Amino acid sequence: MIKLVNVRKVYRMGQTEVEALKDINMHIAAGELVAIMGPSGSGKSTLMNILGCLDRVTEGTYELDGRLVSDRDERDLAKVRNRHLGFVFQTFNLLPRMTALRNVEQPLLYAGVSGRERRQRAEAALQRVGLGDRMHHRPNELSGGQRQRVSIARALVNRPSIILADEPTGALDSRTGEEIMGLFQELHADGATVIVVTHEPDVAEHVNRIIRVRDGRIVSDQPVASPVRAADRLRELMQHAEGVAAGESAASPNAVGPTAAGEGATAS
Amino acid sequence: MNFLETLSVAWDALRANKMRSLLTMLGIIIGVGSVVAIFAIGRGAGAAITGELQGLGSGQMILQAGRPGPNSQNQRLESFTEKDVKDLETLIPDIQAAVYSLGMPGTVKYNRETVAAGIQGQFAKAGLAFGIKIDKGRWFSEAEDASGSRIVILGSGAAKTLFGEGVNPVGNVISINGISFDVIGMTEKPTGMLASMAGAEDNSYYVPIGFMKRQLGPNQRINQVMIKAKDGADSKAVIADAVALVERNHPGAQFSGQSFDQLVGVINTVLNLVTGVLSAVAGISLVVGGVGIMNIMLVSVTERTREIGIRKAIGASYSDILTQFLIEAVLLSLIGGATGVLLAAAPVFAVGYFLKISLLLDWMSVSLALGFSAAVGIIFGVYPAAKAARLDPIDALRYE
Repeated sequence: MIKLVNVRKVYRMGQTEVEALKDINMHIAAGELVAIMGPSGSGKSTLMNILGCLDRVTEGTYELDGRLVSDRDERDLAKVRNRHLGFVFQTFNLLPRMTALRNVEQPLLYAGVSGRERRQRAEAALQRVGLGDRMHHRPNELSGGQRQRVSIARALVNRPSIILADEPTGALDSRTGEEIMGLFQELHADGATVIVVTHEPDVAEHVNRIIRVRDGRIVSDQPVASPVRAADRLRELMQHAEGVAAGESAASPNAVGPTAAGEGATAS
Repeated sequence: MNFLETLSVAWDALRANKMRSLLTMLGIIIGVGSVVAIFAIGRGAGAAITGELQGLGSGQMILQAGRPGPNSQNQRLESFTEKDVKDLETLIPDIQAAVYSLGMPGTVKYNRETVAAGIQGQFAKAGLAFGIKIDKGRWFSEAEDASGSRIVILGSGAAKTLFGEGVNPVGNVISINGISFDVIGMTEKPTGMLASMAGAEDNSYYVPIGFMKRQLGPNQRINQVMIKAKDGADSKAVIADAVALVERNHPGAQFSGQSFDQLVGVINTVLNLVTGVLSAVAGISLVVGGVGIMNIMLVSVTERTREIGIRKAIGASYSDILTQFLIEAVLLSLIGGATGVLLAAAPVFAVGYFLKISLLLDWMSVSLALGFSAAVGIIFGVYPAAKAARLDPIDALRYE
């Protein structure tokens, strides 16, 4: 599915050259759920941009779906981004003036899918991420988790080979983040290839394979023996939240009267 | 990307900044509006003037001594003779009538009114050939001309001076230079746009030329000969024939002629020039409007950098983004142009109503105006659109 061979990426910043990626060799098969990890400045964003065909390699080759993309021109790369890749961003990057449905339709527009089919596919993608009842809301009428679901629906809608998620839970609270990771796990279970770029170990626990990057090189590439299931983690979170809520509701009458305070104290 | 979809995206973008879009369009609205209005009024006035002049003097021409040009001082000038006039009528088949007139200053009296005026001796046939329109009474006959009758036809203005507005002067007797004349007719008041604008009235006193010749004596200089060509005759050819004939009668002397139609042509040329210059001045505001569009599109591109980044990430190519912004610019200028045309229509029809001319706000000038606005949108939209399309998606996505 993805094959990087001896990839090097050099940026020119004025007079100096910065070698963001040194010698990357990587192979990701179809149907994998992979995390690319690394601290900031490690080169993981550059790697992500190259995988996403937003940037080109300086040396080496990048093969996607058996086609060499490292030597394509701008027009072809736009096509590859449209047909073969789906992006999920940390800040969602939805178009603010459009409804969820219209946002999800956008990639299909560039793919030249016409009217009715476009609408049907966009609706199906939104239903897939659990937003069947929020299709006609604009991003500012949706919560962060819902916005990220819209952006996942947008990434899915053109049936890409790979979904590339860049810190997809970075702007979300832990419970919503867990839901989003759960959604990726579901998509993976359905056969999608998902690459998550993150620096959070919590997030990376959910995948089957972790590729660590540092100083422009891959420092480790290991399978995860037993990935955390988001559904389980969510249940824990819920129970914990209920516990806290129960404690609070039990504790709150304390302030009301002395009799209640005594009962509250025994309960806790 | 589908054209209709691109159009709707552009429309949404313009609607999102209504005030800004409106102000940007204003330059185009004013530019297109004034060009269309000036053009319509200029062309309408031209058509009206041409029509009126042709109605007045179609097929008429004037012969005179000498030829205009750089060497006109060295020419031998001779006046026309009676023979010339007769020859013109008899030898050139396309000439219906050739006449001349004799004028003299006169003192006209009626009751206590005394007026100094120009008295014109005219041929009987001049009345018909040159379309002198009679309102009251009649023009004089060949017989009256030959006998030198003391009769006069008053111009409408002259009649007003002597008798007052709306009074029929026919049947009265007036005195010209101490000689009594019967008033047998009055000409029609000139109508149409030209006359009403100039406030012109016919102040002539027309008397038979037979009388005038007796008064002034023989061998009067004939400085101009008026020719009326037959319907459908080529005025240029008639003039050439006439000049050749007269020059044959006067060896060594030069003559020239001018047709009324040529005069109309000259007036039209001048009018077109004036319209053109005015339109060009108004067209400058179109250019200014175009610069306004470019300016606001550049602002828009900067504001929507992130949107451009997103669109590129989900598969928009260079040409998709270029088209999107170009269509936005063209939409701005086209809506402005259409509004300009609509706004121009009001003054155009108002002017047309007051000057009683039909103005030309035809499909050609409307589509020309719209085409021009679209061109302005493309010309001034290309740079911002290309700037948007060239944005690097990674930088654009990072833009705050």
